[in-house]
Amino acid sequence: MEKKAKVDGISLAIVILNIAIVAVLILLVTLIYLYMTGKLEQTDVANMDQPETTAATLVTTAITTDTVEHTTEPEITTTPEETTAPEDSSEPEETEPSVIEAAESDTYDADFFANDLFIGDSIYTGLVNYGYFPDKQVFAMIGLNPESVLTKTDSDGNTVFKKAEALNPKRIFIMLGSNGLAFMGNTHMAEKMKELAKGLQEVCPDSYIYIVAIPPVTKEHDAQGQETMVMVNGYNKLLKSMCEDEGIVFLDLCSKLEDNSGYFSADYAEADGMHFLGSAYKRMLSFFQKSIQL
Amino acid sequence: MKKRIACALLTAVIICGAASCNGSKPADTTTTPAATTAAPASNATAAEITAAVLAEVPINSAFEKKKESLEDYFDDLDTEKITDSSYYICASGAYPDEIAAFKFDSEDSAKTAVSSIEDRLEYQKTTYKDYTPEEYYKLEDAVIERKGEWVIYLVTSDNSKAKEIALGFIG
Repeated sequence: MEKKAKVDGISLAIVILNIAIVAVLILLVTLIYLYMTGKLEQTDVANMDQPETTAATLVTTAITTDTVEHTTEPEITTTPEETTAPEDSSEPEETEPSVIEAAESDTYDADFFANDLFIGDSIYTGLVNYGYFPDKQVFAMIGLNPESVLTKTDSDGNTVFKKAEALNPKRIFIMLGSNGLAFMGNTHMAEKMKELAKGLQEVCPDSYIYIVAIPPVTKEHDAQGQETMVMVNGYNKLLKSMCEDEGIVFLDLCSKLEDNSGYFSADYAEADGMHFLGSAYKRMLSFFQKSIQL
Repeated sequence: MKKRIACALLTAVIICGAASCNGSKPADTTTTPAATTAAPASNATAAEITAAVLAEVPINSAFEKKKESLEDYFDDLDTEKITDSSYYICASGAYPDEIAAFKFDSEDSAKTAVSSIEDRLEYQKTTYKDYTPEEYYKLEDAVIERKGEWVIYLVTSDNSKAKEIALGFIG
């Protein structure tokens, strides 16, 4: 009898020990799961969304006033403090083997852009290629320019207006012009950009439209003479002026990608001197988010 | 006695479970593919083939697209029939370079897929002919080669070399 009681005591101790181990394991697995899915950082990211209201109001004002008379560009292109950046929880699943790492401050939140549309040329095809956004959020084609974007269709047969209407995005980012520098007049390109923006406003009246400055070129590319920094800066200046006249928000991405000499920084430029390395997309998205959240 | 055995078994199960948690680290796809020597056709993987080609014929801004993304690039490609794949593109959009190795569930599936890959090549030719004429040579002698269940697709600066390396794996 005494022996049975002793055996029962040992068994009870082992059961308690097992329960303790199971509890610790469950706790560990839960913590690991939360860490892997990024839910531990969600609070911070959610808090960063707060300034959106201000930005939205600002942009609404700009676009609404367009129906009456033109307004000046909202002051949102100032470089914000780097410390306000949210943690980047948005690494594309697929990874580039040889990309230069972006600066630590070039962070963004993929959820911030979850309902946005990006319109551009071959540079914006990189948004899909690198896995930053799915195909449905990007209308981009190699060789696209401010004129051809008005009529070209994508692989699904959609024009840019049809795609925008179907997506009904929260924001529309447009970056076009690099492909027209060599043969299209800047004034003509700016006029076509205005036509594009107005067309998009018609089909997506609730969307906020942002026109993005075309990126710089490297010194080596500049020396070839086909696309130069003089051309880039001339077009961007005209584009900014058009945006001011039309009450459209202009995002000066160009200056964010330049080196100290005013050319496309080697940290962000592909070997051809015009396209983006993977690091440039991070910088661009970080700049967009910080500017809009101001 | 039965209770003690049950407790001991439970302990063993928990310890084994904890140990197995350690081994569940997902495969790391961030590393640069390492060059490998040609393996026998039956043993070669798509990743080994593309890594070997990339090591000898590198492409700018090389980025591997997963099987789930292939439909964005190859219209009408039945990805359900693919059993192993590795597909690299020049993600910046500056160059037309592509390196792909696809293994299908049957020769018939591989044969069917060839037309989809040919369509992709034609689209790229149309796109880059005017955009960057100096890069067009990569597309002119691009390689689409089927061997059994394998299909190789190569658009590089040295397609004959890339083809030789890839075929070294699949015969």
